[in-house]
Amino acid sequence: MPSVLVVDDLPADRHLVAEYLKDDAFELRFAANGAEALEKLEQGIPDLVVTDLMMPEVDGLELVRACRSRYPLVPVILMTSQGTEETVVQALKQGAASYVPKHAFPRRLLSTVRNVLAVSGRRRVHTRLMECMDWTECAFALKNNSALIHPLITYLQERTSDLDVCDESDRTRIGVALEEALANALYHGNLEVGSELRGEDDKGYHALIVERLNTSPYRDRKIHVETTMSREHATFVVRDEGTGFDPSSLPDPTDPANLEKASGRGLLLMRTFMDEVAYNGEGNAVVLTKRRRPDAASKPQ
Amino acid sequence: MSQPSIFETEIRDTTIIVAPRGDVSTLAGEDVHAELPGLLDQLQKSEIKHVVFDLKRASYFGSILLGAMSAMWGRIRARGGKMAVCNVSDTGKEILHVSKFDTLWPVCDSREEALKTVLE
Repeated sequence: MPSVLVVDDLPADRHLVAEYLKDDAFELRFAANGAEALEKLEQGIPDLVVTDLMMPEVDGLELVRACRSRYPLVPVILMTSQGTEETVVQALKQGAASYVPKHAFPRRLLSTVRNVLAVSGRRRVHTRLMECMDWTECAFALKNNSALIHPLITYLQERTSDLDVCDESDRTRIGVALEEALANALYHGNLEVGSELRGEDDKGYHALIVERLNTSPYRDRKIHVETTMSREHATFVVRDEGTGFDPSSLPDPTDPANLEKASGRGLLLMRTFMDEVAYNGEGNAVVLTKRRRPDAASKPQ
Repeated sequence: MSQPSIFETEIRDTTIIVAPRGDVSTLAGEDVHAELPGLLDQLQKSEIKHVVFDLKRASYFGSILLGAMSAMWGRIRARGGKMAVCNVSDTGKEILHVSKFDTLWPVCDSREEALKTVLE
């Protein structure tokens, strides 16, 4: 039976919520303000919090923030009144799952509670399952289609989240590094489009990319991505089917003489955001490694 | 000419404000390269002396945007103008720092501060 914590400073409104939810089997608990709600959360974590916004002591917005921080798997639905629209927007940005205007309770409260519980239930089960995962491997062979690369990066970032290898900031950094590696593999590796035209003739650079995407052998090449992840590290191998290059031949982009040059920054960003970056002898495969920080805390349960 | 998809621009007196519409993926390189010549042409207008890059909607970016920013800076510097960056995320500041561009372009907290900085 799902448990719902109802938070409102008005007893009549708490009673109203109970009335509209009585058709489903919920275990209901009540709190008169955000502070009391947080005490109740410490005593037992509900499956859902339904809260008013304007309350004394700790208001609904602060409660949303606290829940997001301390109980990230517990969704919060806001009960809103006229005049609270701006606060609602803030609360949604802070992580509230949904909102129901009080005047719409008859039509929407029960369905909103059911929907949010269904989504959060699936997420909670998934999270519990991922906590049991020790390591994972996967391999992709992508066609030369830049539209596929973002979904791949998102997928790989989610796996690092599942294994809690790193925090959100590091996931963003991994995303930047992977993007650089994959863009290099696509444009410089498979399509063999060098950086010389960039900055000199951008239209020509663009035209050459389009031409090569439609010309053999370039268009038939693939980008191979293999990853191995555990709770301690994430390793990504990105390999293209081009002729390779010598990474040591790239100019140092931080040298003032090279600041206006087009090349080398991608490798700089990879090296900055990953713990290790190593190319194979041919220069057509790069291994990127990110390790769990020694001081990293585990995700809250 | 098709509607620019990557950059919004606004001219304030002698300064052009360039603002990416969102995170600028290095894989949007094809789009960036398609728009960059138009941006550089705008810098050739005689009334434009300075550039402000507003990264409010780009929480992260890669080498392709750095290259575009560098190209614009090169043009404006050749004319004696200045460039400043504003509304940069923490990751963005890290990117500007490792690439040493923060030694060339003041990193400001707001658009207004950046506009004042380039006019100093």
